[in-house]
Amino acid sequence: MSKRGRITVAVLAAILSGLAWLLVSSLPAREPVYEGKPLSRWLAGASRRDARRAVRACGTNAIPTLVRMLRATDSPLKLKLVQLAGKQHFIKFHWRMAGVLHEEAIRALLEMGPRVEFAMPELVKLYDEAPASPLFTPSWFLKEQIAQLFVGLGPAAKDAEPSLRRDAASGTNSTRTVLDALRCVDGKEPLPWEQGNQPRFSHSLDLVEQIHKSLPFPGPTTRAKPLVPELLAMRDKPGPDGYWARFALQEIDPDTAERVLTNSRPVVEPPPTTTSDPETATPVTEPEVDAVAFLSGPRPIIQPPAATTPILEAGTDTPPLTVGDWSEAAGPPKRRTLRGRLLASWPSDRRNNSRGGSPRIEMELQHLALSPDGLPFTVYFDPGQSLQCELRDARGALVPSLPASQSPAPRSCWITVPFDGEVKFPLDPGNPSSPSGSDGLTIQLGRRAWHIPARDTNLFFLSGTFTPTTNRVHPLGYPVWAGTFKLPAVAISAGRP
Amino acid sequence: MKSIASALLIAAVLCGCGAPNPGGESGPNSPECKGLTLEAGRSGVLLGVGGWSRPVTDRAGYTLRGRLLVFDKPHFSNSGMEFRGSCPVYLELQNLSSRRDRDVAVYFALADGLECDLRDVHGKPCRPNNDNTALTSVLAYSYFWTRQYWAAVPIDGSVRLRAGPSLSLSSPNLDGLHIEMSRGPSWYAPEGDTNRYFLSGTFSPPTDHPSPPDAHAWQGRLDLPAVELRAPKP
Repeated sequence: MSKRGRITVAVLAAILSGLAWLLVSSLPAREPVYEGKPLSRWLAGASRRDARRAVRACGTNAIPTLVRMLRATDSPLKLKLVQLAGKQHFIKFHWRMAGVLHEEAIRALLEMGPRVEFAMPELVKLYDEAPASPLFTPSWFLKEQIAQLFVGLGPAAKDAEPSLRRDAASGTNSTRTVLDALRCVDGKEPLPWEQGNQPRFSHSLDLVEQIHKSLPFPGPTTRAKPLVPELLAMRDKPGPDGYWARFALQEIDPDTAERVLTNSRPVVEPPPTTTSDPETATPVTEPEVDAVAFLSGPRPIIQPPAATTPILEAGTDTPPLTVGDWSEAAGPPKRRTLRGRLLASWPSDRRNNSRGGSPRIEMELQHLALSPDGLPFTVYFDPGQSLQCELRDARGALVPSLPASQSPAPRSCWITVPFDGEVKFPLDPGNPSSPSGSDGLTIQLGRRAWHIPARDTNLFFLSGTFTPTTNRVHPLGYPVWAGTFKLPAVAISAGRP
Repeated sequence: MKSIASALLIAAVLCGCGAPNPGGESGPNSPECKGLTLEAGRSGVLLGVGGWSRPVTDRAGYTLRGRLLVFDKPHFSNSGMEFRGSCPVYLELQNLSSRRDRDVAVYFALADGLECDLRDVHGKPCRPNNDNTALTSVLAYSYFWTRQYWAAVPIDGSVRLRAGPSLSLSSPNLDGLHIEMSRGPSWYAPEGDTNRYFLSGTFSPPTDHPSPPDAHAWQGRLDLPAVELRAPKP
């Protein structure tokens, strides 16, 4: 064979080898199949419920696939290619980045329940192999996520204790999750039923406390399994006890919950006969709905009767608004977690009748904490105690207040501040009437009220101090925020909206 | 002259001049959105606010409406590395109930109840980059994936719920419009992309959780009008 022929053969052989390698490498690794689809397809799908179903059906057969996903890394070449591909818009590439695979695998392991113990040797190995690294790097995230798994497993993750202890002592990787995991796996804080005691809950707070100890994150755990008989006995109790029993049962033993909780369907409530505020409430006329069809089929959406429901349509009836600045963030030392601001708006009828009435005063609270539990904060708002307000004129002089009228005052209530979000709620009771024989502006907050004559067209400034009541436990056991912040002033004028 | 006028008219249409503000008075520059930024260090500019959905009253007589808000990407710096997150998407719910006896509660779980959809100016759905979270994302984690809880919407009040992962990062820095719904679709439009995009959605909270005490578990479906979005200029 001539030299040219040999070169041609060599080039062809190289091309064929390359194609063969590409073919082999692109073939999906063997993995369990559920309802005709491989496990990884279920995990990559948008439905968490479907993913959970697939993982539970695959059982321990899923572990090799999940461990392989956890071992995935992105080579520098791949990262470069991803960046280059992102600069053109003609060809769409579908990359599966390691971080996404890790997250999917961890979520799947959480859904496995007790069977995740079979993955422990590999998980400990993976945890050890991930090098100490700065925050927010892939390695750091992987370690954090595996540590969270150990938290959930508790003493069942005893094999991980030396690794966790090493990291906790090193300081480099001594994150809150690692410390939590260490506390959970070393068994020094055993749960009551792990000391041979039969779990018994006298009231919901007891139950909430135990559930929080045994369920640091959603998902079934081995540690909580002994609670199931007690939860079954409690599930029909009225109020929070029954609620938490049903909730915990669904988290700890979903299969049993699905079998016994027949009341998890929508509850049809009777239409209201009276409301707490007859001045503002408007009866809602409801179309006839077949209750059986409602419970068994898709829920009908009932549009409100336009003429009877007081609704502020966006763009047509949005009230004029003045907004105060945000307060300084406040909360536990070294952890500023919440801030607030005041807002004043005018009901639509104010614009039709610019004399008399009251602005709506609202408070907005913003959740600022990035806590791993992802839970909201709650504050117990007692209008008479939680908020101390003052009204000043433009020169800074205090405007004297009067005792509030007997019109319905806002009730004390729990306010939930969503995780990484905001909540806004009214502070005033609505539209109290002005003092007899007068017109102008009336601001009523809690037990105090201020009145500004209509002829006074100056600007006034409402500010306050917010200190929610902390001697209560939230009925769902959500964290109760404690602290004080000063709400900067919001401008209000009696002369015009 | 006529052709110049036509060209100006076309240019005005292409630039969006005269297009109705989808948020009406509730746009990003409205008073209620003043200063509405995220946590210091994660602060973002409000890119767009959708109009309010039609209010929906459930069988028990409790009414909610909702809208979407989208912020610009936050910026992080840690250990000498620079990170950009995806554009935070918020779902705002407002309690318009005529019943005033109890708060309205919705069970809010990431990737369970909120479905979003991005379309181009012609109404054609944009293809999500689902398989890689973001086309050029190197590091993308929804670290706080455990988020699920009862969100109570106070009487006459409202809540804004973070609808995507709270700490989703990419490095090196990604410029452009990057929208990531937790465990759902994710879209990326590179910096300099001059197209207009419209993010809309539906929200129907899951009903397979026991109702909370002292609040009404609202049931229904909100059709959330579109938020108009553009990728930032280079």
